[in-house]
Amino acid sequence: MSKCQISITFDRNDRIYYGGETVRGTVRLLIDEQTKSNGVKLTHRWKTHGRGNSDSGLPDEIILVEPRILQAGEQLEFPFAIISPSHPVTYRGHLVYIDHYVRVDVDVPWAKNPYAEEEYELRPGIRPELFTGERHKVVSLTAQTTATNVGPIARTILLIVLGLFIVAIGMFALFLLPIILIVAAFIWVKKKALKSRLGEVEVSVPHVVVAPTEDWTFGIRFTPRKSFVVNSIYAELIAEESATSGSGTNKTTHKHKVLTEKHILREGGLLDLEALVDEKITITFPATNAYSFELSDNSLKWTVNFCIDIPGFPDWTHTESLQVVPIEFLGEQARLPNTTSDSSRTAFSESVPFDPVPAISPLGVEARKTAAVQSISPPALPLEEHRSVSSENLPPESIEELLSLLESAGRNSTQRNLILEAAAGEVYDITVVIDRISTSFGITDAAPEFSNGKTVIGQIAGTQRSIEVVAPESMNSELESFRRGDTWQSGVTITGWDSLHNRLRGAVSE
Amino acid sequence: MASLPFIHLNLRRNPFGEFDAEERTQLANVELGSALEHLRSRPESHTPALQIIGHKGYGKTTHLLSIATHFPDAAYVHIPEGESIAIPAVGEPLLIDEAQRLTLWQRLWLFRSRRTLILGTHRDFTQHLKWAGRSVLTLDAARHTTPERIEKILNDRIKSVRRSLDSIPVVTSATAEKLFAMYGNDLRSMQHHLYDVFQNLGSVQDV
Repeated sequence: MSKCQISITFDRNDRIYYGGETVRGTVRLLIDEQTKSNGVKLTHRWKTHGRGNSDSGLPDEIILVEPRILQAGEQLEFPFAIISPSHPVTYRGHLVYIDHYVRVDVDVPWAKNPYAEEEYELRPGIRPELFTGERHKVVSLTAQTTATNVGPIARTILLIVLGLFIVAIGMFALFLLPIILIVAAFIWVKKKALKSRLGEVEVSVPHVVVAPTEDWTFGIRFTPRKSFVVNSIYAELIAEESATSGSGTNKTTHKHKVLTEKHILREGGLLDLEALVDEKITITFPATNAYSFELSDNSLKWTVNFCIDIPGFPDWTHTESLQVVPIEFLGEQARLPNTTSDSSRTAFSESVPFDPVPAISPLGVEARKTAAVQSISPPALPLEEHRSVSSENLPPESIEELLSLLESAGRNSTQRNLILEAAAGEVYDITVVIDRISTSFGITDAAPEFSNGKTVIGQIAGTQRSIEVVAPESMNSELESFRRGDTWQSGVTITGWDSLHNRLRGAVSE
Repeated sequence: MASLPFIHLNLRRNPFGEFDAEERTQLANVELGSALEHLRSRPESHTPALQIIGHKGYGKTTHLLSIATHFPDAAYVHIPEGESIAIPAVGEPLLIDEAQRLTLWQRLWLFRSRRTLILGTHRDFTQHLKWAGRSVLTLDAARHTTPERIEKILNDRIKSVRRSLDSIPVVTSATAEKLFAMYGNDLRSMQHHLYDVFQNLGSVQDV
């Protein structure tokens, strides 16, 4: 019989918590026989389980009982409150699982420690500090690894040592030289042959940090140097789990594709000499809770692989790494509900609601669609409120008035759409404090003059409200002179609302 | 209702995934009587050495970790592939996993030292240890592997991740025999096989 019985209960029956929330519960101990104890400790941490070696986060420890004799029949009760981390969120895949645990250990000297462990489910909540809104490069959420702390001098020394090592190996392995040369020659010939047909191939993705269900436009562009036939030009979106088990000679890496989605950019056919191939496609990123992570022995990686499939000739391929993150990590959507006692959380934004489906399967698309419909629907609008907006139907006279109306609409998308519809025909003088200016690649719903122009993203001066304004190509040279923090003024027509970033959309009115 | 992993099987996780050293030690099902007797009998002239020999997946590391639990002052070191590592200066006995990767100098120095050695190895060092004046006991990691023992090992693993006292999946004798016929003494391959079986198991049932 065990020396004591331990139970851990959470204040929420469903054990669902959002990043940054306080996880509360109670630990109960019933001592069955007198036990000398070196203390009772509560540990809170995440760890992986599944096919690979276990990775885990740094533990938070709370001492519940100092070393003492635990008397038979004694009943102890300890409420606990711990702050949940922002990441990694709970993941239940095939090879890899990430779970968050509360564990209680009774330290009994010279004996097996009685313990109890319970999981809770962590869903995306607060945004990790490492996410600053930058979406053009992958953000390492394991940035604390030693590799990133290597300074430039240490790196140079390492490179020199590596170089010397390769030279030393090379001297002893001259017999391998012909094989290496043959492989290198094959790669070089393949590259040259492809270039002689395809010329320079440009691949474009709008950003590499992506949230599920957001629209994502990517493309390929080249001018053939010869006429030739292709089977197809496509891009394949792949999510793959990787788990490494064992070590040394016993080390084995297992892989499992969570998702493969092929998108045809161009069907098979003849490509004419010097005829520009410029193919773009906008997809809705899959609804998934298989967010990217990369731990020592476990990872989930997303890539988009571009391929020009040429019959009887080497295919041209290019791989772009992506980072799929919860929408809450990308911007102002990361808001917690007012109450923390109710875990049936409302949607974060109207277009991309929080997925309320249990995270058992990483891509339970069907189940998720049903659930999404339930939470996409905005809260019912009171009748009078609805009438007041539609009956007035007058455009806001100034940007300040428009912002004030939007503020009062809150997250009610129906009301907000009515306000934006009313404002659509107006030109507002807006001053923007520039955050960044990027090329307007992949705009599908704007007039042609905007397609090669710039997009200004920033804050409306004097407010906390963000805006993105597309400008025509004719303004490119003017906009290129602006830097982050500069103010830029223009007449802007309101074109809509970006639910992903929770900001206004507009276009320069010429 | 809480969304908890493997709750449909009344388990906390897939029992045939990778376990950490602590979990493996707790689950170790190895007979150590002769090994412990050999290690504790320290004759004046011959320092004891114990070798656990076996192919990968046969349970060498499990043996070492189990033995370590009997010696509170033991030092355990695993030598990764292609690496040369420092041998701990303290700790008695000294357990070396993948001892075939010791450098020549380490071997000469260690074998001639007065420290009790427990080696997990693919290579038999009996003669080298004897030349160094040690009394040697060599155990085959797979010496007791039978279908009955396999059945117990596999079911112990399942029980170790049980959620509640309700029923859990059970590996039957027939399955254990089949696995023994397929994989012989290679317990790791059996676990890999069963990992996929449990990933696809829809409800509590005999496997």
